[in-house]
Amino acid sequence: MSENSSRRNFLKLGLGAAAMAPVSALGLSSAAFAATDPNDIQWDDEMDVLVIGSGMAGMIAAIRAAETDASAKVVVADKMSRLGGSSLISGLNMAVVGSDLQKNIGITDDSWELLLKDIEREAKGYNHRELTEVAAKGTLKLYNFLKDHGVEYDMSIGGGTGVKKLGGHSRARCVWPQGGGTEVIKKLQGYCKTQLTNVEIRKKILLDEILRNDEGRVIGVKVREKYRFSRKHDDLGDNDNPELNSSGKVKYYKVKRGLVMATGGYNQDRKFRGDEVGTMYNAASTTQPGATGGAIKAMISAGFKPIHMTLFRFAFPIPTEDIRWGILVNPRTGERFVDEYNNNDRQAIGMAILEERRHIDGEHTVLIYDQKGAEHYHDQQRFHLSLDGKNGINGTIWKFDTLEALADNFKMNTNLLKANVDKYNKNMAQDQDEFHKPKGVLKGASSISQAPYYAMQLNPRYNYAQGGAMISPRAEAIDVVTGEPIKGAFVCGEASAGTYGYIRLTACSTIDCGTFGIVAGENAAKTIPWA
Amino acid sequence: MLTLLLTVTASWVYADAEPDWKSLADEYTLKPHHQKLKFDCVMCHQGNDPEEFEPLESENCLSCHGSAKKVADRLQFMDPNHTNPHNSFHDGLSLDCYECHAEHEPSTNLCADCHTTTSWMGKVP
Repeated sequence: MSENSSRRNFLKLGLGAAAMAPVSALGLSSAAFAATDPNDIQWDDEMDVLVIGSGMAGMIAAIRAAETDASAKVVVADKMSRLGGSSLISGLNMAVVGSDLQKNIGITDDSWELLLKDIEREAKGYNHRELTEVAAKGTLKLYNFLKDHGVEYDMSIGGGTGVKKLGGHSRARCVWPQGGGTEVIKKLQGYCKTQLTNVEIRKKILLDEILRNDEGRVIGVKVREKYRFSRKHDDLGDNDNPELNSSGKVKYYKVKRGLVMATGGYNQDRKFRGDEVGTMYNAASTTQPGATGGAIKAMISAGFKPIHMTLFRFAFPIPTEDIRWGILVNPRTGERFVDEYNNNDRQAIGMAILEERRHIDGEHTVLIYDQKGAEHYHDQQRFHLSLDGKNGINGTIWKFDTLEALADNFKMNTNLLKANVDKYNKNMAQDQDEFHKPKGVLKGASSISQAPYYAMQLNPRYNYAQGGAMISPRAEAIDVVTGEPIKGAFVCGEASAGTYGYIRLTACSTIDCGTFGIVAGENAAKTIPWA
Repeated sequence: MLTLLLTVTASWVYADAEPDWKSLADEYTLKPHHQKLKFDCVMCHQGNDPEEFEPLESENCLSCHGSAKKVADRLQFMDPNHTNPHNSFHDGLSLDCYECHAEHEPSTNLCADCHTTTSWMGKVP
C-alpha cells in the first residue's frame, strides 16, 4: 500500500505538483471514466480556464481566475441564450458577518463560529464541516469583493439600516444587493467587459462531455456551439437528451489549466429529481428553466463523485415561520393534514402538502388565516405583496369577509370547513391539537375566529438542489473511485455539494457561490497547464 | 424602409431538383404579420437548400427590425414599471428575439414563466 499512500501525499502537496503516474501503472482499481488521448482529438479552440455557467458562482470564478493571472485566457460558457443562470432572477440576499452595516447597528458579537452554528442547525449533520467553514469564514471577503466590483447594497432594508435578521440566523446579518441578482450579474458582466481583457463570455455552448486523460487529469471538453434550449418541453430535462434536442455543432475545447463547473442545480428536471424523490416529479420550481440534469450527468460520466442527491430545499412564497398562524386544509374534505408549525421544518410541511395533493388529483391545498393570524405575520411587507398579487405564481393571498365566502372561492363545502375550524379551535384551546401543534408558539393567534379571513394556495417550490459534485475545501472535484481530487477540475456554487445538508439556511446560497467561486477561480488559474 | 436579406440565387447553380417551396411553406407557416408581406423562405434563410436552413439569430431579425433599442422604444410606455418585455428589469436590451418569438410555431412568453402577466400582457406575436 506504500504506493497508494505516497500518491496520496503527492496530491496533498497541493496543485501544481508534478504529473502522477498513470492510474493503471499503480495497480489501482479501474477508473470511473473513459480516458481520452489528447492526440486523438482535433481541438477547435483552447483556453487556460473554462468556466461552465454564467451565474454568480461562474462569474466570480472567472473574474478571480482572470485577476489571479492576467495572462490566462478565461472563457465563460453558458448553454442558455440568456446569461446569468438562476442568479439573474434571484434576490441574492446574503449572510455577512462583520459588515459595516452590521457594525452600524451596534452588533459587535457576531462571528463566523456563530454563523456556522446556525448553518449546522439546519444541516442536521449532513454537511462536511471543512466545506461549511469555508463559506462561514469568507462572508466579509465576499461582501467586499462584490462592492469592489461595482455591487451596491440596498439601504432600504431593515428600516434604513441595510441589514436584517432572517429566520434561523442568531444575529441581524443579512444584506441585499441593490436590485437583487440582476444587478449583481450586470455589474460582474460589466466589470469583465470594461476591466478584464482576458475574460470572454460565450452563450449557447452546451457541455456534452468532460475529457480526462489516462492520468485522470481533465484536459478538455466536448461541447455543442449554437445550442438551442427549448422551454416548450413539459419536462425541461428533455433538453439534455440528444434525441429530443440535437441542436448545435460539436466542437472540442482544450482546457489547459482548469475547468470550473458552476452549472447550478437540476431543479427543473422532472425526471431527474423525481427519480430521487417520487413526489417531486410534480413540484413547481422558480429557478431558471435551464436548471436541468445535463451538467451533473456529464460530471458523473466523467467520474466526479455525486453526493446529497436526494436532499432538496423547498421555498414558499411566504416565510416558513408565518405558516404557523394558519391552518392548511384539503379543499375537498375541509380537513387539516399536518402540523403547520412543524418546528419550522419547511421540508416536512412541503412534503405533506405534495403528498396530500397526490390524493386529490393535484388540486391545491389551502392555507387559511384569520385577522389575528395576519397581525402576527413577521414579514408584513411580504404579506402585503401577496395581498397585492405581486408575489409571483401561487403567491397571492385573498381576503374574505366571511368563512363562507372563503369556502365558496375555493369550491369547498362550508359546513365541512366550519366543522374542522371548530375542531381546531376547541383542541388548541386545551393545547391538544390532533397534529401536536404547540399552542405556545401561536401567541395570540391560537384560533381561527376573527374576520376578515385570508387564504392562499400554498405550494412548495423546489428551489435549491443540495445535491451535486462533492468538492474539497479548495473547490476541487473528487473522483468517485479513488476519492482523490481530480486534477484540473473544480466545482462551485449549487453545482457542488457538501457545504450544506438537510436544509440550507436562508441567505446562504450566495455565500457558497461566492466563497467557493473565489477559491475555484484562483486555484484554476494557478493550476500548472498540461499543454 | 425594409432592407431584405439578399439570398436569391439562380436555380441553375444547383444541379439537383428544385425544392418544393409550396409544400415547405404549407408546413412551415408564417405569422400573419410576415404572411402579409408575402415572404419567401429565402427572404430570411441563407442559401437555396432548405436542408441547410438554420434557426435565425437575433441579428437576422434586426436586419429588418432595426435594433434592440428601436424595438424596445415601441413599448416605451411600459418602461416606468420595468415591465417592457424588450427592456425589462432582468434583461434590459440583451434578450435574443427567439427567447419568446417563433415563426413556424406558437411563440412563448418568458416573463410568464415566473410572473402572472395576464393583467399587463397580451398574446406574444
